[in-house]
Amino acid sequence: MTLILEHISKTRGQGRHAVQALRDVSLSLAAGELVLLEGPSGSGKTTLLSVAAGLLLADSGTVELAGRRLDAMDPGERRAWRGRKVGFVFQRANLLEGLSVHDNVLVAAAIAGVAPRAALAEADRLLAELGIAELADRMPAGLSGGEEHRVAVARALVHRPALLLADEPTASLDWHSGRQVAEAMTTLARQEDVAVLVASHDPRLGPFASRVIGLADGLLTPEPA
Amino acid sequence: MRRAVRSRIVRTAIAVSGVTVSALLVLVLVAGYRGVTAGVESYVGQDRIDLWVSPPGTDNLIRSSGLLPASLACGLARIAGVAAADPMLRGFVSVSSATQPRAMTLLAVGCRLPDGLGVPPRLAAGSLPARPGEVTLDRAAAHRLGVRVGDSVTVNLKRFRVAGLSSGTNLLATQFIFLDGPSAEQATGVFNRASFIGVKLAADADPAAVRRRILETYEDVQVFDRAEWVRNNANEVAAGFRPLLVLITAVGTVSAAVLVALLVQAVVDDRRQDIAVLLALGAPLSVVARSVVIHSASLVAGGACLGGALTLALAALLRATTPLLELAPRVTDLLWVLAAFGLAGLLVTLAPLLRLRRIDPAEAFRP
Repeated sequence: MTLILEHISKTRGQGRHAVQALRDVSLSLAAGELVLLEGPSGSGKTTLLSVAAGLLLADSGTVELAGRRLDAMDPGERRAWRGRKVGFVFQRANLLEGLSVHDNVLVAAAIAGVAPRAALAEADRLLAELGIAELADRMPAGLSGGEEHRVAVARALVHRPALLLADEPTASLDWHSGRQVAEAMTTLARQEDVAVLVASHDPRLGPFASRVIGLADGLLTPEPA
Repeated sequence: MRRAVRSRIVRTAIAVSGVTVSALLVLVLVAGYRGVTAGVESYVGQDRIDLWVSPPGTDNLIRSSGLLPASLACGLARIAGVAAADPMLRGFVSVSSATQPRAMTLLAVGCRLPDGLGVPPRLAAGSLPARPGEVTLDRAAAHRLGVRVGDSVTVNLKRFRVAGLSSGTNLLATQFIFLDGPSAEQATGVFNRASFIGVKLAADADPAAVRRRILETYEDVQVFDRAEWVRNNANEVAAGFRPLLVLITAVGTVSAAVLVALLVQAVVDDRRQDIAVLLALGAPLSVVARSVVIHSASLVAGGACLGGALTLALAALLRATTPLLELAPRVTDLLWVLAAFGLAGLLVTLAPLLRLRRIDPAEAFRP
């Protein structure tokens, strides 16, 4: 298994504002599997993604990513492990606006410690497969929403991670662009044997998922909430 | 990584311009100070005079009190190792011209002309006075008086013909005017007295030995070698200048530092989402912080170097267009300004850097 979450609980905020974001959540993902995590806003989807990536520490429970326990690592080790083993696609793509498309992809490889020559080759390959090779020298400001998200997918996969986490990757895209991004993400992830956890309530993603699970009030349900 | 945390181009340009102007302000002031000290040093440091003999209590030319008998020069000339000794009378005189009737105060030096020891270090135009009734004055003073070689000036109500213009004799606050001994006596009303006596040593003479012999022969005098005399005069000039110099340098440095701090703060605020993304992707905070520091350091260095280049250009422009202000920029001053600005920039970057620590990588998920 690429990702194993066991009995994860997490409270966000303090005092009167404390919210139980995750309650005894257990979940596992295998390589090449795409799990769609559905749930309304505030259900704990983003918290679950953050815990899975090691960005947040659970109050209780264990997280195992690519064979290592994240909760047992020191912060520096966890950061480095995340850099090598996790790829992200955010809701707004979140490309670095000061960097070209090509450099946006390369930055993730550099952080993961991929050798520059190998990173260049991989970035070029991914941009070509995603049909955006001709945009390599463009700046993010000159891209459409769909193009931005395809660059984000390339960035998420350039360092060959074990786990791809996507948070509402199609929410801000039109029907056609959203479908294109979903297709590209799933095809590439399966091709690269990457486990994918997508948090979304976009019905367009349903057909691409191996499994659909629901999250409501921090509780995992086997069916969509 | 560095390019990812760079500030926006317009903000960068504004910040660099601010640092440039601050550096220019400080460097021009320092270069002006260097120009003044160069002015006094070029006169009192000229190699015609090896020893300066002065009355007790006088250790520089700018401010002197007390007088020596002019005839002392004859006695000094007889001391072993002395090749020549010339009396010099200095005093402030009021000078005006036909085009500038409002008098200005110049530092008059009365000496043996045209081949005495106290003549100006360099001539910019004309010649040294060859006969009574002629003067040579600093070219900046001539510019202010609106006179050229051959014109007339009035020195303490007596008319003189301008025989030449000197350079290296501008102290900014005042300038030198050179008269022959009798004219200087008439202008100052002091007769048969000298403010200093310049001593030229024989080629093989030991300055320390001659100095000792002078002090053994004449009790009520002081004797300074050239280096000491130059140092005393430079200190005298600096005494008035230095507090202002320090104040302006401090203000300039602080203003540059504040600009850099504002910019770095803006970088951290503007790029908060980008920084969160970098941290989420696994970039170490220390690497992001280093990129921010390098960015701010390059702004400071760029601004300070641009300020240095503009100072050099301004000095060249002033040299070509007006003798009133002589800037003498030095590379060492630029390095000092660079170091001071860099240190201040680094200190003020600390606050925005601490803010970096508060950026949660999970912010990358925020829509």
